[in-house]
Amino acid sequence: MKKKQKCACSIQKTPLRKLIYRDRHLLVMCIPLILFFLIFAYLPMAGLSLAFVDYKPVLGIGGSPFVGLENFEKVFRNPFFPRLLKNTFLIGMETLVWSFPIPILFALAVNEIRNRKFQKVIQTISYMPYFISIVVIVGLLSNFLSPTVGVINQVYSAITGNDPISFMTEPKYFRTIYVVSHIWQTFGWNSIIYLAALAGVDIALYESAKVDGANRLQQMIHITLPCIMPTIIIMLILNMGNIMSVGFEKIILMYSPSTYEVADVISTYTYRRGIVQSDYSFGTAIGLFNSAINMMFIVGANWFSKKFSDTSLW
Amino acid sequence: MNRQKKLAGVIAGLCTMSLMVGTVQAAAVKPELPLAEPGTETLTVATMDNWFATASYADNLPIYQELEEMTGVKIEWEVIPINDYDQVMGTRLASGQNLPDIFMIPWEANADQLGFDGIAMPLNDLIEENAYYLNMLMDKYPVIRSGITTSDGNIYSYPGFGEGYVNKAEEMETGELVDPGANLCLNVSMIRKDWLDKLGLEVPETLDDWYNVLKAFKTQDPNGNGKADEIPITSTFNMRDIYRFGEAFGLYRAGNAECRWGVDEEGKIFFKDTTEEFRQTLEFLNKLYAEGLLDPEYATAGYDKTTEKINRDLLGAVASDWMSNIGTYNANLKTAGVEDANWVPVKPILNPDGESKIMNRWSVWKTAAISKDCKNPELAMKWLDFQCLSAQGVALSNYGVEGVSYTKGEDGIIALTETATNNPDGIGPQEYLRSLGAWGQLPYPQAKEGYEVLWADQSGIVEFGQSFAADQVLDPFPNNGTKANLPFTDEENDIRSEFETIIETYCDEMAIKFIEGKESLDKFDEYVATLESYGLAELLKIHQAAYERFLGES
Repeated sequence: MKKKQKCACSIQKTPLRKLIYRDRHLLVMCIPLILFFLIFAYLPMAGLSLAFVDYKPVLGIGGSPFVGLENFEKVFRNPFFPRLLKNTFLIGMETLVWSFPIPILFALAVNEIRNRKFQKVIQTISYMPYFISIVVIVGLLSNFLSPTVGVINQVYSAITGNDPISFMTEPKYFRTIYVVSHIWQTFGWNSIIYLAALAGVDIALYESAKVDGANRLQQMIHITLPCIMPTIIIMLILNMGNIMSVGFEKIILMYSPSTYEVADVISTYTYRRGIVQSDYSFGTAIGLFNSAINMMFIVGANWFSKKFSDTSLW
Repeated sequence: MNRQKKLAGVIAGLCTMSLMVGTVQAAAVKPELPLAEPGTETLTVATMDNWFATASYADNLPIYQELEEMTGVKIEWEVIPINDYDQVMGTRLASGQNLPDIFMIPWEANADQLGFDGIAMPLNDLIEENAYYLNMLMDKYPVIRSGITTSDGNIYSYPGFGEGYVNKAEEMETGELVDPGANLCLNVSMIRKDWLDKLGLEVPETLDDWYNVLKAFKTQDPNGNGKADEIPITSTFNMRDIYRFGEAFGLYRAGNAECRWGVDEEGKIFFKDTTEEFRQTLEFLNKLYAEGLLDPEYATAGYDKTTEKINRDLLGAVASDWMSNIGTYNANLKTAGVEDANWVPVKPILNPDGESKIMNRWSVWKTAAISKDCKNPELAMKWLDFQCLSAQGVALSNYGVEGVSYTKGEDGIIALTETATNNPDGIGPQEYLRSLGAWGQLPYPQAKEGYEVLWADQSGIVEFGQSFAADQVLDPFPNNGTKANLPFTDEENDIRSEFETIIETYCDEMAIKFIEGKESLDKFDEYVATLESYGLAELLKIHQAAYERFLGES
């Protein structure tokens, strides 16, 4: 303990060379991670230059004619662009608002279970949907929700006597179906990080609270929550950065022209135009724009958090 | 051959003749087998996998073993699942490196653009010098050449064919080509004849007939389970299938492709989705939808969903499907316990002139390309041509392997074997042929004889196809799905890629709103005006120019 403290306060004075030598093992262990990001995150960024050229495969990225911001002009000129932006934001935001708190509540609830075995069983069951392929999930959804052969509509019609509802083609249900199935699929998995944080809460705090006469609910509110709050905030900031990156896989499986007005998002439009129609430059331009908005969200959230709490990413 | 095709042929012929003036080339001679010393030559071929998914081309299926024996050329397969092909191959072609010698052009890709971008090799000279069989066929049907020639005068693809060009395999050997005439495998509406009989109704002919029949299906419980759970009609593969009702207003579709572009009698290109006829079609569909006669899931149709509804004895009619599937419909329903199930094809609805006309499918497709990385393009062309159009190739791709899937009588009559017609694994004849590699993805012609052989035991289908007089058969607009398949230039393609997605998205969306009554049809003019503002006029101009180029007039 004593030695460690000494190191900590002498960082400023130790020359870099010595620091590197001291932490050599850690640094070696970092190498794979650094390589991972270099190769899979930074190197591909060279591809972003596609957004500024009129890409011709034979000429390559470097050889294709430079067109400046023309691809971006095409993006903004597109009559569907405002709608894409709005849908992407709404779906991303709704997913965040509803699916963010649930894993926390779930983790708190699981944490209160005293029987260890039962706790493990509950946890394992809750992970399971996470491992089901998205194709299967959407297949299940359209089967269950089908107005002609779906079980939910059969029950609904039998009870209420109303006509069945075409959930999958009715724009007003789209986001709800998307978000609810998303929560069902991910809440167990996302709770892992909070359970880990909960495991790190000092037992002594609970013991002293008990001595003071706090009941379990009070312990949860006054000890557990504050202790995992930094984790929650970091997770929130990170998730804010993903608001606009609504994945196209699930939407492409779920949507149809009848739900385009609420379901068509930037990534699906990029897919239809960029990949299917091989308009790579356009696809890259709109993707780059999307990333810029994501960046704004994450920086904004971080600034906000820094200002009003002690936790922040940087 | 009917009049229009002939005319297009003559014009295209003139056009190609004028193109060829000044170039003297060694004409291809009938290739000698083997094409290469066995064991010396290998070609890599990238393709989407077999329609019959359990037999992958990667396993070197029997017909390709036969081909290897004949040609001496070994094929190295790069097989990609059907549903991933467009994406995987599209990305690979965009990277432009290490391309296979021969690749199937992704369906959604712009085939011409692959040539303009230098990914696919120009094939004009290669065809002239090495593709004996294709030259022979193009001499008889010049429209094939106009179908694959691009705006810069080059050909970048080897065509695959639907019906209408090859009659019998052996004719490709003798060179005495007989015009096979009207298509046999048609794409039409189909209906439950047993339901009609039960309700004392006739097979519908007019639009009013259709309405009455569908109404009766909904209200008179033809499946006899006491519930009004019948789905009178649905779209089959995608929502645009139900546009088939446009026939009643003179708006035709070609095969299963709802091409949005058409050409009128004066040779003017028009966009179908803004016509008055289309508005009337929507009006009718809106009536069907409002009264519950149209499947509420028509907009999210898919073949597996349709099949499920058929098998559960719920569906009364499909808007559009290939006649080849009727056998499967009936067989499945019988398995499900509906003994008297009887799906029948329905003739197209009478148009305003009181005629029932059918539009052939556009059947020259830009199917295969030879990549810029190909080391031996002459051999690649010879092999492609041999496997597609030689008598041996046509036989392999249409009837499979002699002695295994078919036998040839002394009189030259071809018949499928017992293994094919009554397969012990319970698969249909076409599936069985596909398990050998026939009816595949590589370019091949659908020979008329092929269908006759395949459907020998299904009386009715062939007769239905033959029941259309020559003047009842319309020639299709050159199309590739919803899009026109015309020789566009590089710049025109740029404009198309900017506007087409926008316009198609808006059309589909608004059509649904009109049909489901979420938007009143009074707003049709507004819808047309919006399309105009999205660049429709520009697109029309481009299409007109490309069509004139196609006809060789510009």
